[in-house]
Amino acid sequence: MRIIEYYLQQDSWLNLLREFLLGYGYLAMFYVMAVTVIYFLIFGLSIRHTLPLKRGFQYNSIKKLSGSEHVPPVSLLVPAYNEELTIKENVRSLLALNYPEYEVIVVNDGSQDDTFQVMVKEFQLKKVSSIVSDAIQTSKVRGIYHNPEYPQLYFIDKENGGKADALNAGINLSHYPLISTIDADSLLEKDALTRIARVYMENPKDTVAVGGNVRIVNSCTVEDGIVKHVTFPKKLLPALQNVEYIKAFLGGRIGWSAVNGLIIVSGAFGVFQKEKVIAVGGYRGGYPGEDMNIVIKLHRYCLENKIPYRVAFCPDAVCWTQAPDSYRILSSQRKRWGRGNLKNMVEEGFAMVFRPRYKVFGMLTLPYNILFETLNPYFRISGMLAILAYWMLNMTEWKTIVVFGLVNFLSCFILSLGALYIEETAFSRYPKLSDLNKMLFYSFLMFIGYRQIGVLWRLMGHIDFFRNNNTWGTMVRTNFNK
Amino acid sequence: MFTNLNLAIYFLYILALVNVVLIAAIYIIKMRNIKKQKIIDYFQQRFQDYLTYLHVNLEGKERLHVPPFKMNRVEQVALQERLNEMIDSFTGGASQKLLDLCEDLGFVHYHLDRLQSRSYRNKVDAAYHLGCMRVKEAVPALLQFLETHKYNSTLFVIARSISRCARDELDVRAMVSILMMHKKEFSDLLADIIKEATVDHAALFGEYLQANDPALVRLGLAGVKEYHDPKVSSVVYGLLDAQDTEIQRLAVRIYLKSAHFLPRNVVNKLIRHERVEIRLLTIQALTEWKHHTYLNEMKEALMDPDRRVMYASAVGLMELGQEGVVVLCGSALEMKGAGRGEAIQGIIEDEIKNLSTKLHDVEHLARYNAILYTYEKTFDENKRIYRIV
Repeated sequence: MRIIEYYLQQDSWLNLLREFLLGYGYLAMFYVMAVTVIYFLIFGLSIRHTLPLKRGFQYNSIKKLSGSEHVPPVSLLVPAYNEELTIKENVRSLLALNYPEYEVIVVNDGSQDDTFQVMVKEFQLKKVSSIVSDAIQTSKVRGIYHNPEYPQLYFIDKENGGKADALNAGINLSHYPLISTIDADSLLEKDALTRIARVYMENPKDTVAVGGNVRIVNSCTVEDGIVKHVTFPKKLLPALQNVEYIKAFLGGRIGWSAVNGLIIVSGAFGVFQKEKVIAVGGYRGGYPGEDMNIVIKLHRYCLENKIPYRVAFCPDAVCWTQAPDSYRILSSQRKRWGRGNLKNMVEEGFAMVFRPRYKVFGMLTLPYNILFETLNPYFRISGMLAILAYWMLNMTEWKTIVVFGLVNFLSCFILSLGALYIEETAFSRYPKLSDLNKMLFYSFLMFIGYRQIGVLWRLMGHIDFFRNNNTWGTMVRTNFNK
Repeated sequence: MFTNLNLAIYFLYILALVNVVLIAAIYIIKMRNIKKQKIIDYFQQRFQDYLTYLHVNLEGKERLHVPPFKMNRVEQVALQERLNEMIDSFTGGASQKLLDLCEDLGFVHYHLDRLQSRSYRNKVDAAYHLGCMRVKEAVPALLQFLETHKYNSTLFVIARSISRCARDELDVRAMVSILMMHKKEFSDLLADIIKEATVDHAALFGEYLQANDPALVRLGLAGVKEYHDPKVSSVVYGLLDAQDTEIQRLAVRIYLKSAHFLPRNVVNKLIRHERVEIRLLTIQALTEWKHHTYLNEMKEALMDPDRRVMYASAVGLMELGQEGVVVLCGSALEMKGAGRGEAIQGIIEDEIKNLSTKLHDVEHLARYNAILYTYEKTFDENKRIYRIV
């Protein structure tokens, strides 16, 4: 109050504003420096672990392992809601995996379309009376379907309860100690499960979850549920998402997993210890972001009970997914992600952040996530407004703004290049030189509009959260090969 | 607002330079990958005749000849990769001829030299290839490498190479004891690795089953889990009461799978075990056996507090034919009115419904008649019973 009175006495509220903006400038500068340091640290770790990872999958014989009786049996859980267009191909691809012992449990979560009819007709399924575990409470299961001609395939028809609820129903029916979650609009590579199993087998007791790598299938040629020809997406939005995914998965998750700080195992493809998932109460229903929520709960459970554990990432186990190719669907997806992230932080994150008992997860992952993911839209938008104010109040000149803008752009672009470096060094999934040109071009293009609109979508997701808007939003499925 | 613009500009130059260097590095790697792929494609054409010659002459006694032309390093690597695949695919004389060819090509000598290299990358690559080529003289150096190696994925690459090259059981044991020092439970992966060695696996795993160290016992169990030998059941019998729940579960599973005769006292003990998974495993094993001896035990399991055991037992009884169905229907009738009785009746009805769609098959027809006859006789005494013929 005294400060305000002083400034009022001086009749200089503009000075007050200037002081405030200056203070904000320092805060923003430290924020940007901190985020950049953590980004580079994680990217450094990712790059450092690329060659050991490459050696791991290059020299460990996946072909031999896929025929071994020693790989652990896995239950694949496929939640399906209005997936009539893709479900057949997806299930066919799952039934053709190179893996010795596994089952596919498709869960129809009260679809409004013909998902149920398509499944029953395609695989000639008959209702069976099966006793399932009631380890996790779910919405009412209307029936369990099976056909002895497809002994590995089970189909659960249940009332709508959301993706998490469908996964929980799948867990209750599953017969094996490992569960794998797979989105119904995604395709697994034939040896993806073996690759993840290899990582699990190296330390089965401690490995509570292993995440797979998700790549964009748009524009690729798909035959019989298998990606036959990899092509860089032709449309703008999938192309931007492609470079975004490469950056997030290769540049981020390899590094985070190296310090056991991975906060998310993608819902599109991941493997979990069933026992631990049940111990934390299964997937949290009723809200998006269940894939992040389950991983946070696993970290919390293991750390609170002093159970040695790791959440690993397996970049060579690839799952191909359809990326939204229209503005409407993409914005809806990103708002949902923003809402889910905020909910997870409010529900779990704030209770664990900066508490040493939660080790790397509490001291690095969560602060990073809260400050630089959850609060990111607020800093970004206020930053833009502050720059405007600096210019209007003659606190800076255009040259300074341009220089700092370029510093920001070039330091962020290094991270995009780092991800491409990892891609080319270890995977090189896009064989043509023109693909690399496109990846570089779209990495650059991301900075012009796409990232900014992403911030806006996230903010709108937060608004939805505060308004208790919990709808799933727009989601349209198309056939593969589109 | 004070900003040290000059400093920022210098920093900008550095960032721009790093960006340029990274872009250049990425393009160099890309070009190298493309070039490598081109050479491999060319290799496929150039070596077509030679690979055909190898396939044709694998069975003969004559030693395989090296290619009649000079190869560059990338071509050598491509040929080596192809030979590694072929060695894995063939056994006996054919495999030995390929191993001899690798020696004649100088691959063995080359990788033995690289195993002594200071470069970690070269050492790992050499270890892998020596393993593929089953080079026995590489074992001491590989064991030394394994001993000093930290715990990560590459550790198992070296271990697998040792197993492939092992001269005798002592080499395998040495490899196992080094890996066990890491105190991680990778018994299944290790069992898979051990099975690559040309030693008597059963004897080795049998030895581990009798060890005092639980980690070795787990390894032994992982090794014999697919064996159907009565000798195995007698060895794991002693582990049925193990304190370690994982060891106990594995032991019960292997015992039930490998035993050719299950003493009634053991079945009784297992079917009343406090752990539901043990009870479930037992019922599933009895179902597979399809033996009337355990009819009473399966009937008892219908009363199990866990519904999964009850269900498995009902399915098992139906698999036993007429006698089992009589017991099942009788039990359902006894428990009529209770939820359990309804559930059992539902299971029988489902089976009847399921079989009714497969009456074109004689076996299913007979089964359908047997179940339907007993079911209707038990639940609807006054109803006239028809059989489909």
